[in-house]
Amino acid sequence: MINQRFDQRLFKYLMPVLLLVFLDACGSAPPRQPTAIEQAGKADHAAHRALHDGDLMRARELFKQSMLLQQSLDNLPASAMAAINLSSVSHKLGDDGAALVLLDGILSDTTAQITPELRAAAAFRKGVILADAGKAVEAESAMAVANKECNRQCAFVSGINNLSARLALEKGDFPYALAIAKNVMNAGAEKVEQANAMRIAAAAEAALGQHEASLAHYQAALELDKELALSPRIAEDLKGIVKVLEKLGRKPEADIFAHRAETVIEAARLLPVNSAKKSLP
Amino acid sequence: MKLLADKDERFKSLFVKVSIFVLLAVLGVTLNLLFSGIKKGFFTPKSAIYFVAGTGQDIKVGMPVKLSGFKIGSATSLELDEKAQARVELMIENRYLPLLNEDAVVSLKKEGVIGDSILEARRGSEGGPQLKAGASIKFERSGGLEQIAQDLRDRLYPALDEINKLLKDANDPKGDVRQTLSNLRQFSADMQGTRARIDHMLGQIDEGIVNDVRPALRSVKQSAESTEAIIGKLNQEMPGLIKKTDASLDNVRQISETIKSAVDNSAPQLSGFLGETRGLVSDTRNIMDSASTSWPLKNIMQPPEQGMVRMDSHD
Repeated sequence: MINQRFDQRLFKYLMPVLLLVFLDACGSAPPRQPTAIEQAGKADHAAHRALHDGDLMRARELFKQSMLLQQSLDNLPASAMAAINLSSVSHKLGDDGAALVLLDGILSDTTAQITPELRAAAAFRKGVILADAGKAVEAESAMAVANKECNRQCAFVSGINNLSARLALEKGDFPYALAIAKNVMNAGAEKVEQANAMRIAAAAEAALGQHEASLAHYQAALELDKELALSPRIAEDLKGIVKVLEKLGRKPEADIFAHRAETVIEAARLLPVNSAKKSLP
Repeated sequence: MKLLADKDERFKSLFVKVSIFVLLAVLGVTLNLLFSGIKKGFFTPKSAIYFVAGTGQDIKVGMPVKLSGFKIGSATSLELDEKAQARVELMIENRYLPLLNEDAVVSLKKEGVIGDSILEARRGSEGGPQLKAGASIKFERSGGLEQIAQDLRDRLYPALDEINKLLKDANDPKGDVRQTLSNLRQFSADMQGTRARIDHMLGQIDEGIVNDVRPALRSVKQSAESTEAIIGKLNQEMPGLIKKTDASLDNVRQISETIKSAVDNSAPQLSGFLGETRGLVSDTRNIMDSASTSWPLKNIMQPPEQGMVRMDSHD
């Protein structure tokens, strides 16, 4: 009896010790990498964190640091990825010139170390930037490169298709734009591209006089963009709805949506995060 | 006759037990009230004193009366007397009443710039007769922000009026300024005529005139002598002034050197301090990063983003 009680007490004290040892074993430190690689990794992490926090200027500096560190280690794929990220942030900051220089640097690289996916990503981003700048012809040639390198196997294939639809829309080829957008919607793309496809489809339908369908697509895009919390897209959807409602002669409703769009644009503009960003639509 | 028989032992003497419980509760509440009352000074003997203010503005019933920062009483009533003045009754604790003299003054003040208003009592002249219960004392309002603003306004308004008047005079064609300017213009025109006449006279100068000019030359000589004297005085005082300036410059140089030396001494420490801070931040980040990738935090925290920044077709 005495022995049994002694065993229980020992067990009671031993358990937390064992648990601590077990936890310690679980939490052992990973092996250290060389300092320069760790620094590059840290800069990349910090840049992503800054981007997540909306500090675009800091993100730009850190991506640049990461790119230079990777270049100094002759790690071409990693430096290309950092350059693509840097170009994205530069574009967000409105510095399209710098972004295009970085992307051209990747696209003109003839070494085999740059993977087709990285080339496709660079070409896709170049196409987006050029399309935003209204340079449709150059954007189309960039899209051709993206399509060739991607070969319908990239993660952003729906983005490439949407960009083609956008360019068709800008050229006035509404049926083609609508067809591509519908393909993207039916392919079950990720939410952000689904919303983009719906917006393109809505704009094409509005141009083709299919106002009810356009309104439905704009409203569906609005729902998705609100889920994704993307202010510029929400404003774009609301403005699209206003245009369609006006064409349908529903002026009072159009006024309400116009007011909502103005509120979204004004509030987003007043946010300190957006002070350094390119202007809203 | 009881409807239900109390067989349970615990219900015996229930009425007595409940009564004791209720009584204890009542006693507790009463004692609590009593102690609170004592602490709040409800039972402290007080005496009334009065003062009359031109207006009852900012004076409120319940306002504390303080002497040397201690509360000695409060305002208990405020009423309008037959001369339309505010008559205020103060209840002063009896133990503090002897501290006030008959010429004591109560003034309305604010505790701090934006604090509550209080009535602050001043004792009055040393050795004067003590204030008695029911007596009246003097009251004055003193300098809150409003008073300062009022004073400023009272001083600025006349100055502004004067400036306004001056500007009006300056703009008035018949005013002194315009008249003076007009006279000066006239004088200047006359002077041109005079100069022409002098030029003409100089052209016709002769010996007789030289004799007339001699007194004027003498006067000029006197002026030159005075100027010389002034320059001599300046020559005497200048070295002293230069010495003082040199001393000031030396002081400035010393201060500059002291600052430079302080900066030189602290710069390495500052650099070390910054380095240590950077190291500390780096270590902390390492710890946090390691902790966030270990169990159980890795299940709670979101994994850090890496790879390619997302960009869609509408970015």
